[in-house]
Amino acid sequence: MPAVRHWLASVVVALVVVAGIGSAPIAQALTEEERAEAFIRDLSAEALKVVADETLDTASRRKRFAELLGQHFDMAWIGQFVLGKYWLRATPEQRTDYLSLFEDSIVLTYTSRFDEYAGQQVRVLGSKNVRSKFIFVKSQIFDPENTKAAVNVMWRALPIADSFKIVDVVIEGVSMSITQRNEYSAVIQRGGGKIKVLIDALRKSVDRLRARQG
Amino acid sequence: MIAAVCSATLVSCAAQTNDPDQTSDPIEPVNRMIFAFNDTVDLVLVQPTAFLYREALPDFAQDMVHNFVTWLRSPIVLANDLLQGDIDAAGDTSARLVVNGLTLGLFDPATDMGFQHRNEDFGQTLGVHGTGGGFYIVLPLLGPSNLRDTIGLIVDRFFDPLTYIGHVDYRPIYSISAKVTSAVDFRARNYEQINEMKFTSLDYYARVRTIYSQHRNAAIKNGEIPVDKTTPDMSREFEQFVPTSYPGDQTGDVPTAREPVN
Repeated sequence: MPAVRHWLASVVVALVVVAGIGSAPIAQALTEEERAEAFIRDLSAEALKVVADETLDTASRRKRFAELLGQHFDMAWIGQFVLGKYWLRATPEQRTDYLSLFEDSIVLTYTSRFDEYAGQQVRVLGSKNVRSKFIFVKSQIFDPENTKAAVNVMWRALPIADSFKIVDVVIEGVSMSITQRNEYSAVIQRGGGKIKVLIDALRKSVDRLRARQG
Repeated sequence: MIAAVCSATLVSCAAQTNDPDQTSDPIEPVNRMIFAFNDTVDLVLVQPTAFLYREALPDFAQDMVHNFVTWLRSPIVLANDLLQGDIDAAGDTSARLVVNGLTLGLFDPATDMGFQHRNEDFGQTLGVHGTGGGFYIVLPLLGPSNLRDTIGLIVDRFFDPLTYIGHVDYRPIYSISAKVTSAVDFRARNYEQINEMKFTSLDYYARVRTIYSQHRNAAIKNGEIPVDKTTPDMSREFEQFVPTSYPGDQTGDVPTAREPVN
C-alpha cells in the first residue's frame, strides 16, 4: 500500500506544518506540494468560516464567498478551457461577453445554495505532482455528525508566482470543468455551431439565477 | 467468459470512446425523447414521492430503507467483486452480507466494523477488463446508461437472488418493488442536488450525459483518479491546454480578478 503511505505521510507533514505555525522561515522549506495542500486547507477553512459566520447577513456572506472564488479560481483560464475549440473562433467581443457571463454564472451557481456547506468540514489527504504542470490536492468534505457520507474532492491547482490558482474541482470523479465544457459544446452544436447561442443561453441562465437570489 | 462477451458484442465500442470531448451518442434524438419522458415521470411521480418520503419518514427510518436496498444488492456486488478478481473487496462484501443480514439488512453495523460498502456491477466488471462504454443509451425509467452498462444490467439480474426467490408469479413484483424503493431512496437522498442541477443547467440532458460517463469511469477505477497527466475521462487536455489570451491583456500575465457579482 505505498499510495496510502504516501497520503498518510503527507497528512502527517501537513499536521506538523499546521502545528508549527505558518511562519515565514518554515514556509520556505516547504515543497510545492505541501504549499498546495496548505493553500487548499486555508482556502476551504476560510470559505467554511464565511458560510458559518452568523455576524454577517446572507448578502454579505455571499459577497465574501464570491470574492474568495474570484481570488483563488482562475476564471479566465477555466472559461477558455471550457469553451474549448470554440474559443479560437470567438470574436473579441464574444470572448469578453462570454467570460463575464461565465464568471457570473459560476459565482451565482456556487453561492446560491452555499448555506448547505454550513457545518461541513474539509480534510486534506495529500497531493500529487507527477511530471505535470498542475498540483493535485486530494481532500474529503464531510459532515462531522455523519462521517460515513464523506465526499471525495480533488483540486487541480496551477502554481502561479508564490501561490496557486484553482482550475478544476473533481467531485467523486466528476470534473466540473469537463462537465461544463461538454455541456457548453452540446449547446453550441445544437445551436448550429454558433457561439452566440451559448452566450444567449448563458445570459438567460444568469438572469434566472440572479432573480432567484433576489 | 468476460473476454468472450467483450469480443463478441462490444468490439465496436472501444473505437467510439476515443473522442474525449463528448460521450458517443449516435441515437441522441431517441435518447432525448426517452430522457424527456423520464424527466416527466420524475416531475409527476418520483420527485413528489421522494418529497413525501423525506417529510413523512423520520431520518432513522430513511436510513433503514437505504441500508436495506443496499444490502439487497450485496450478492450482485459480491459476484462482481469476484469477477474483478478483487478478493479484499469480496471479503468485505461477504462480511457485510452476513453481519448486516443479522439485522435483516435494516442496520449497517458492518461499516462501523470497517467493512466498507463499495458498489459494483457487471458494467464495471466489463470496464475493469478493458471494455469501453460504447454509445450512450437512456433507458426508459431506469435512466442514463450505455451499451456496456445495459448489458451489465441484464447480466446482473442473474446474480440477483430476487430473480429466483419466492413463487414464480410474484418474482417480478419483488424485483420491481426493490427497484422502485431504490429509486425513491436515491431521489430523496439527492433531492436538492438534482433539483439544483435541473435549475442551473443550460442543457440538462447534456450535463447528465457527461456526468454519467465520468462517474462510471471513476467507479470502474474505484474512485482512484489517475492524476498523472490525465483527466477523469482519461484525456490529456488539461496538460495540453494553454490559454491563448486573456481579454484586455497584453503581457500574458494572469489578469486580476473581476469585481464579484451581487
